[in-house]
Amino acid sequence: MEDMIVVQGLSQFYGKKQALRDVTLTVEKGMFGLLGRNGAGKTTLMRTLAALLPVARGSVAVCGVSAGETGKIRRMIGYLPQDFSMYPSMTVEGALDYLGILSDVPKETRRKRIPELLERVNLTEQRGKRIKALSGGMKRRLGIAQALLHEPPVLIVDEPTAGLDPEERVRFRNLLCETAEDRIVILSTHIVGDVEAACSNAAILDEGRLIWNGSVESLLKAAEGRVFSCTVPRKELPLLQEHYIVTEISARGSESDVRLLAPEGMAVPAQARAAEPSAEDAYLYCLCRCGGER
Amino acid sequence: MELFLKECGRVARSLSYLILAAAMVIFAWSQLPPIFSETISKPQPGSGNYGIRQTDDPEVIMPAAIGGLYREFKENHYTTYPIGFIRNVRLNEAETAEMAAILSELSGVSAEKLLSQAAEAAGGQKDPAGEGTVTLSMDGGTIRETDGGGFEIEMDPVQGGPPGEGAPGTGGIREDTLLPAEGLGYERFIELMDRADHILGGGSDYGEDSVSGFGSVPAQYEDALAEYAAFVRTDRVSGAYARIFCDYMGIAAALLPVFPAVALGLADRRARMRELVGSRSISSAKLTAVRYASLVTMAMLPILLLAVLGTASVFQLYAGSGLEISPIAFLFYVPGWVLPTVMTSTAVGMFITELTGTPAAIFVMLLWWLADLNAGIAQMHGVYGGMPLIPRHNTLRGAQEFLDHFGALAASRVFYTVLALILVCLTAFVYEKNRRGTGSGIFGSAVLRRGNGRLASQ
Repeated sequence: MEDMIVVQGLSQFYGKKQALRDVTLTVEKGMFGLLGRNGAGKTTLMRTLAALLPVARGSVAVCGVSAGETGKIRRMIGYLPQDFSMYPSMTVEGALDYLGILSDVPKETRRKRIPELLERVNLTEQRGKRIKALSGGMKRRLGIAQALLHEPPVLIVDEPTAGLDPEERVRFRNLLCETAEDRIVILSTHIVGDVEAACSNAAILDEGRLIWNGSVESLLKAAEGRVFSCTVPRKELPLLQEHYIVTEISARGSESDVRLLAPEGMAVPAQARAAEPSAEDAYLYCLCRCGGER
Repeated sequence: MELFLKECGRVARSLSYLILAAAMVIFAWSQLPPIFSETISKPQPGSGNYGIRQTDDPEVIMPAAIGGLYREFKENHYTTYPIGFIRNVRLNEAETAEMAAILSELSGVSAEKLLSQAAEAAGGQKDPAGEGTVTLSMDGGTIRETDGGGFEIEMDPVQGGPPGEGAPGTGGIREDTLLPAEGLGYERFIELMDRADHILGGGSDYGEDSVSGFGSVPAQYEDALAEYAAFVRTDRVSGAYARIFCDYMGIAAALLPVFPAVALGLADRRARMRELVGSRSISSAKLTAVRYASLVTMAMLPILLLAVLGTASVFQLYAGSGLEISPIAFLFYVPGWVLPTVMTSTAVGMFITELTGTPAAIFVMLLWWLADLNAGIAQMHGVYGGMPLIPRHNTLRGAQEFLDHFGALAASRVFYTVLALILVCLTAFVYEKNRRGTGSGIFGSAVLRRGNGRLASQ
């Protein structure tokens, strides 16, 4: 079985609206970040990979299995949707057991694996608690546990850190990294920091188009020499914002420290110094280069 | 099996199911105790009253039905049950004239005379017993309040006067009775009665399917003895009680199971769990079938428990009678009679909920339930044919009538079982479609995919 996902010329539609436009992408074992604005088509791509949307045009193969073979795909995919919950009156353990049955996991295996997974996601103490009593972070961790229950070779997580506090976000990211050691993990997010911290490879979607695909280092490299910082009087800020993509502003009395992007061929402000690009700078630079910032 | 038990547990813990179970118990508790305290004893010769039996003899049905219609015509006050509830109908002038024409053809009495009688009655019924007293006319006689506050019953003379004045089969009019016209055929009688039913807006006792209800005659000792023999030998006592138990529980079973079916159908959406469930490896057919089986099983559970109680009650009621009582009659009747109704109600609930993503199934079942109940209201003592969702047999007696119509009852039960299974297959099909599109139902989110013209959902 090939340990990769191959997407070729994928287009998806919602009525007249085209959600994905001719997307071609290969995802290999490890953490893969999928970046893009809200509405860029990330969730559509995730759902297509999880066999929750049929392929309209193009092809998708998950570990060598065509997306049309929904039964096989469902066995290979662990999916954590963006907006999910579980039956509120079920206990944590009961919900995992129920979903394990729906995944055809034998009783003995469930009996062994559920406590292990709860331990791994740090929910052992909550195993008897009802779902409605869990915090948002706990629910997300339980979501990962349910997605790993049938030991799928592919884990797809859609916006898993949205709404989590910083501590919970870091814990969740680390959990995903551990999980990615022996499988493909696709992390869809619009939080660039999560991709920078956890993923070796990433892709950027914009208005349904794949505008960038490669390693995170190469994304940073593409922005090298295009990120600048300078200190300007506050009254000059509007003028600066009119001409450049300002990625950061720190107020300092009557002046402001500004971080800006200057696309190739554009003159740089005289007082600006070249700066080391962050992943967020690189992401915004990529979006700007391919379609302009909004 | 594990999934089935889990689903049963989910059903049992749902509020809608607890309401269903409570409603079934309350319904049974409010309706059945008087019946389960009534015993049937062997008829004794010469006791005089052996009850009523139904006959399909036109000589009985025609005069009774024509007389009934004439009484309501004179008062211009008709009682109908168009959607299961009583409705009092008053006809306008044109309709009254049309009704008079029908009665005229039925009786041979001129429409003018009938209309003048009606006008006279509308102008105030003259009371021969004096002002302020109450007079009630009925089949075969009159009850009149006497000065002392008592009542006097005056029987009509035996029919057989001169032609045109009330002899049976010769037509005519008497104080409160209109008799069939000479040469009136039964088929024509049915046609005219059905027309009268249409004028009344349907749901009256005169409709083609209901008019035979006028064929009630006093039972004879031999009839009563034959019925008792059927009660003892065919029903083995508990069979009679099982039938009436099914008659009542069928009413509850046709409506109540739709509630948990809808609630559980919407639970995945409400709990935002549709994608979690949809991405699992279980097939849509298996998941739908198991969920359906658990809903039907749980809906049947209170009925079966009540059936066990019913059996115990019958044993207690006939303790020491020396009669042989069947311990399994309820267990034979309940699955055969009530289960197809539960299966249908549940399947309709699941299918419409999956199709629309709304609780619309409740309204659909409510309308169906009312219509079916109404269709059987005039013949509660035996509705088996015409594919009723709720077959009726609202009497402890009538074992032979039940056996006579067993084929029609079995056909309706098989029909609803097959219909329910077809709906379950369709539910699985729609679920798979929705699961592949993660929509909230075909009508809720289906859109035409421009790429290849196939259906997809958002």
